[in-house]
Amino acid sequence: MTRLTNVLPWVGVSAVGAGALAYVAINRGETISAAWLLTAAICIYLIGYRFYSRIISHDIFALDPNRATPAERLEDGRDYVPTNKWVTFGHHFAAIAGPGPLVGPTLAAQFGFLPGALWIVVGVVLGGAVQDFVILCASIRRDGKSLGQMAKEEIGTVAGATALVAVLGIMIILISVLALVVVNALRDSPWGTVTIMLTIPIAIFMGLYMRYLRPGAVLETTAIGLVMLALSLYAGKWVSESATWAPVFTLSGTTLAWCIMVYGFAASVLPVWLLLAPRDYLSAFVKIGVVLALAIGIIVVLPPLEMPAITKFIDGTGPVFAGKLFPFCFVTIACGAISGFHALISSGTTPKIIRREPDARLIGYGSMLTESLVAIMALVAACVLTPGVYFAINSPVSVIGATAVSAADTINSWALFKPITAAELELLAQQVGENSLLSRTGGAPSLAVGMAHLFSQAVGGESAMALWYHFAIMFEALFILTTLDAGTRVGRFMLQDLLGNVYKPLGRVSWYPAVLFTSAIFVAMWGYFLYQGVTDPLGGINSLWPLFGISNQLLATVALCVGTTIIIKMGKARYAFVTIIPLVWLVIVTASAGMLKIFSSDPKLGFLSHAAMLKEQIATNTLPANIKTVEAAQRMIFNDQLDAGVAAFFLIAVVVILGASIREWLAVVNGRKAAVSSEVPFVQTQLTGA
Amino acid sequence: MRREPTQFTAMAVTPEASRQTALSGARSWRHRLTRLVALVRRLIGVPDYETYLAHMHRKYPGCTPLDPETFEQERLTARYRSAGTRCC
Repeated sequence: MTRLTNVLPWVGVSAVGAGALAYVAINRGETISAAWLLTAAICIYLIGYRFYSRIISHDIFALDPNRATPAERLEDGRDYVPTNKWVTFGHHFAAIAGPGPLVGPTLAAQFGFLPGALWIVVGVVLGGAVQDFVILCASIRRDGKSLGQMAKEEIGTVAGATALVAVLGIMIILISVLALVVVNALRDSPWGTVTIMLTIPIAIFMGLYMRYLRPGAVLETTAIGLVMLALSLYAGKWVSESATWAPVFTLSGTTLAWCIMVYGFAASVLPVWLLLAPRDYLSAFVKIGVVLALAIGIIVVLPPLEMPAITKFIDGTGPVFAGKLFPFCFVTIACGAISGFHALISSGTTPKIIRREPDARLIGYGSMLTESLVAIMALVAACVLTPGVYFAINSPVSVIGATAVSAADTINSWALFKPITAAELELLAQQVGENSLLSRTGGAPSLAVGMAHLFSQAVGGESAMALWYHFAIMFEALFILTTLDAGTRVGRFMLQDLLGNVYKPLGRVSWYPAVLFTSAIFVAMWGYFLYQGVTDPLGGINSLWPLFGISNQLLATVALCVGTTIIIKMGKARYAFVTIIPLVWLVIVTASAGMLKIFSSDPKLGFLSHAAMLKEQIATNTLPANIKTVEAAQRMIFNDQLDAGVAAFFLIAVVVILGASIREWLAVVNGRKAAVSSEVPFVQTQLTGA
Repeated sequence: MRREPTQFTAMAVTPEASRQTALSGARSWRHRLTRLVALVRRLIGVPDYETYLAHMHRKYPGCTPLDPETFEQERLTARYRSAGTRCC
């Protein structure tokens, strides 16, 4: 009887999930409600959590409530602090959920909602959540060691060094592409620009207030900050309507790029209490608030999905980014399905605060499922827009032209979606309080329009569209910039560590010249890619987002190699399939995407063939109108070659890590090397209570 | 090792808490609010000086702990130093 009551609910969940999924997959020709997609996703998450994660928690690591965790054994009141399970869950979720799961699915919506949704749901259950959970368990059993340290100790020095350099490379690409998303959202938008610029003085005010007026009053200060943030939204509106001030804050992409570089530099060299920490507190609230708002908005409105399940663009001719469904859907959506970056968090702060071993299942596997749900919601928000509007916002100028008329004509000429008119596009821009929404590539603006569309149906009606749009832009830019500023600082420290080996004083974090010098170098590195993206006639996202995806999947490859090695060395090789399945898939995806980006003969896709095409055009004097000078074309050729080099570097790193890992596995499996686990020995917990 | 009350009971309803409800409604609300504040502070990653202080008193009664400002500064510096605290 108890067995039956245990099993029955799961049979129910499976049936509901399978039914919803079948409805989503089979239905063609008519729009379906987002409710189906959400139901299917949530049922699959529940089943994955209950059954698949059990293999990791019970069969592989045998998580033991009686085994003392590093938080207990090494407790120091600072890094190692035993913390409540749900607090740790919230903390971990807030750390892994950034702009990634919002932007990737929005871009991948050009294939229709089905490919992205399937990859997000299947990828997370079999890949992303597995990676996060395995690395978290491995790190808990090793005193909270980082991914880099584990790679070095489990696989070898070469793998460790590759991982370290790969992380630095990923940071550079990540920051540049995120900055590009912000630039594209704020370009020629005085409202957005003023609102975001005001967050800097607000943060500085908060920093000073917390330091001198009310030390320790973090929540009070953050509440004041949130009120000021709301006021800055109205200040932006006022500026955008003022004939004198609007032109002052209508900035071009290149000006904004320089502003963001100066900001990143400042955040890296100023004391953290002044700018970074207060912004972080603000951003944490805004992030949680908006994720909740998005969830409530979708559940209240249960909007129909206007985008077809699958579009013609799976053949690789899509305007948002080049490349076919395979492999580019799986590279474009990294965060939300599987994101290598999470392995750094799972082996960073989190393993040091977990109180009891079994908590790791909720925190490692469960947080990632939650992030995946956020990705599904972002996909829904992009797909509630009329497809014509989605493509007008996300296609570069070189495809749809610079006017509403040319955009509408181009999109209608595809004859794929319900026709749109130039007047509709202009009206929508007017409704959200912008001059134009055309070619705002990068995902953030179309997500903001989708959210404004949802929220205004729930609260405020059409007249509130403009406020909701700018509210969405403000929060996206706020937490993207928080990733950017903290990332720049972290990158500066990593660079100081590296350069300290060459010239010792450069490694000294208290020596101001070294701080200024390394900060400037790191900002210049991502700034170069940002500037390249902003000035690229193809829109920049086209070349940078796939590079980011490839780099992120490279890091996931490293993490899964480390995970597999650890599982094999524990003598649990028969369960190693949990990490080998996603590893094999990722290697296939990363390798084919990388090779295509470098060598494809289609100049829209391949970096080298694009460079060759430009050379040809210079030689025959047939440069297209949007490339004004020969110098500009030559710079683009150099950038193509640089991007090809970066992609090649990531590919070589994958090969190195994989080769070293396989050698290690074979040695253990063939008995040439003893299967010895490097876990810290068992210590009985002294903690009482559940 | 003794159980540290401020640290682990943030979510659980303790017998003391339910007695307080019986004692005075206002005090119970205050208590709940304090707990909620502690929870939110921890969620957004504010340096937790009280926990540190309690730990130092328990483990190293003879040592002088860092003062709140130095502690906060040290925590914030550590937080923005490594890649393991935030993601894309």
